[in-house]
Amino acid sequence: MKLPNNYKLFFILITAFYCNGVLAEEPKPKLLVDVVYHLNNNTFPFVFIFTKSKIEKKFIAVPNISVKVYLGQEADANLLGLVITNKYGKGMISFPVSVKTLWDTLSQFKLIATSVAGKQYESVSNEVSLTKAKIYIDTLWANGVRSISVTVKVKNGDEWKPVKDVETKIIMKRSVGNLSIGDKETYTTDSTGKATAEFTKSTMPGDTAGNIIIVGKTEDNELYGNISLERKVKWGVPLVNVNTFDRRTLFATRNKAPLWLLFLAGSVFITVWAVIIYLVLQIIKIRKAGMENRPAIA
Amino acid sequence: MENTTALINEQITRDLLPQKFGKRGMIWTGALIVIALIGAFAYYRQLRYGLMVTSMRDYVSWGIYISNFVFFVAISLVGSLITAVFRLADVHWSTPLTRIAEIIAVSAIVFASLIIIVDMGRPERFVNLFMYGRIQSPIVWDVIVISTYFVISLLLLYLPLLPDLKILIARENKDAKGLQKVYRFLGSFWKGLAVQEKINNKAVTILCITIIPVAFCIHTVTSWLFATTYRPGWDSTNFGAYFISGAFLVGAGGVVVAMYVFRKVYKLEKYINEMHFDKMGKIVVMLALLYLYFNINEYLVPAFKMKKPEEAHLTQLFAGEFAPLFWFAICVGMLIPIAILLFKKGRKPVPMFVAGIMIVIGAWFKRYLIVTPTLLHPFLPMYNVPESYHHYFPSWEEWAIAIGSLAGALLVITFFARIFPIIPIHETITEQHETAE
Repeated sequence: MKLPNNYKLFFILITAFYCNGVLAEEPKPKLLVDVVYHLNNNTFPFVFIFTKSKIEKKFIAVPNISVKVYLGQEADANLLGLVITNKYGKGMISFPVSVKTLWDTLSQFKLIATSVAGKQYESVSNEVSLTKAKIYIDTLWANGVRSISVTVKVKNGDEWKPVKDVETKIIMKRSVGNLSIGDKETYTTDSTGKATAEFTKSTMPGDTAGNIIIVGKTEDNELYGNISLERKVKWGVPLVNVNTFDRRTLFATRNKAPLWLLFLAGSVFITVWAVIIYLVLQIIKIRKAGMENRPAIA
Repeated sequence: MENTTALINEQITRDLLPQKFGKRGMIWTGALIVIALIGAFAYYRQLRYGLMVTSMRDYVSWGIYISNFVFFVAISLVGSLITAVFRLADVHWSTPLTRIAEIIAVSAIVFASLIIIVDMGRPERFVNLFMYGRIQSPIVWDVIVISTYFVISLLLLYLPLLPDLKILIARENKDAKGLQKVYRFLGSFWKGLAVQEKINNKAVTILCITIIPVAFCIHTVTSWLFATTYRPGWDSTNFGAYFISGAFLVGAGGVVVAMYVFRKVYKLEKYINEMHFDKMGKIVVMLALLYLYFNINEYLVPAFKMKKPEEAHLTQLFAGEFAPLFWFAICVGMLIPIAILLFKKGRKPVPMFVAGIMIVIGAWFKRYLIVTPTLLHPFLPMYNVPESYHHYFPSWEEWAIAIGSLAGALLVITFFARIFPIIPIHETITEQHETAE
């Protein structure tokens, strides 16, 4: 029986597809490398590296991956260093002094992260291009209202120029997180590069001197990265440490028992034992009465 | 007429005088001594090898010793119920039961104190409680209130005994020279003078008034040892009343058992008659219903809410590892005795005795269920501990010490009944005359 040409082609395709599925090696999972730029207090640039992989539609952190980080281009002279990611797939590297001269001349810069190929993952590279920016904080006092003004400036040649339409966060640091200074979550800079937030949380406790730390920052900004600036202001309510350690409490040491407890327990104890002593005296009285009436021994 | 009165007095005295142990008495006493000695040997082992010989570990640090302690404290309340409450209420039918109740109270409180020292592991450290104890701690309150209750119970046992000591001294017996020395030491000064009677009656009345709040204190403070601790099963504002109602029930149950045994052994049918059983039966039913009410409160309310930390504890009690014991304690300790004693026929001596035994056994296990399951359900889950830490079953040493202490308490009662009249002779005679008049 002779099969029509269309059928032949169909069988060939099916067989080829099947063989490809069976015989081909299972592809290695793909490694993803993220580069995140940070600048704290306008002085200390550093980079976070994140290594992850997409497994069954979920991003899973990949630990112990060596990643080389470069500034500008992949050359040994531009190497910032080698990062090995931790168990959360995270690593950090700060800019070494060796790149200071180069760094100071740049207005725009590129960060390149290249992973070192291993048994499980092939080498992958990722880069991020950013403009150098700084952030400034100014405190204002007008009509009895306190506000914080944040200015974002970008480097243009040798100058720093304000930049508009940058989304910023103006927050205060708390023990377990950050709290927005004003009513809004984010503030956008105007044409003068400024974003202003009114300080509405005037009853917020500060340290013992009433200091709170306010922070202006950009977060995951595509053009400028993560830049932040902190400033300590005396706007909080001074914290008065109430130490109950040496007071009379139920949980204090024995010589610091509460007076009410001492009085209560003491009066109950004294009353009951006074009754007991009285009763013992009554027994003595009974005894005495009996002894007085003892018949004389002949 | 005078002759008849003298004859009646003589008859009552002869009936109620302490009797020598018969064959059964010797076996009973011997068995108790053996059990107590085994307990003492187990305690020696505990002293020598430490608390490692027990099954108590990091989580269950209060096992059957503390259950036993709570049981002893509970049963000791009976002294204040039968003696103080009835005496103040001018209830005369309870006269033959007063001394039984008082000696149960004294022996129970003695062994409650001892078992706490046993639980400490290092008895010499008991003195630290007085040297370094904090008045803020319920444990210190417990030590104070137990010693106070012991002294008051002892006085309540001793003062009404004085007139009987005169009778005992008067019937000098050559065979009991040692006992005579004891009687003379304790009561040779009692001449039955009007002034002595007056002081004694007044003192007993004051004692009865004093012992009631102290008895309530001892049980409330014992409950606070648990309730002041934030744990599933103990975190209750109801615990004081719950403990007191339970203590009244087990105490009354204990008296029912004791009155049946003494009536049978000493042939006291004339003095402890069916009327006494009937009236005690009614009291026991009332107390069992009261305790059942508190139990419903104690378990139903948390079970209705089923807060997460309580859930594991309550599930274990209702349907888990402790369920057989829990339902046994509820049924045997409360429901079945109620069912027996609600009916007149059930308030006859034999069914009363059975119900009394059930109440006492149920009460012991109930204390175990109050103490131990809670410790197995801490708020923070048990983590990285040996499997044995998740369960508790007492070691033989613990059983021997606990049972030995129960035998010890029974020995105290047995020897007391051998030395002193278990039914007050003088009071019985006086009441006989008052009834005749």
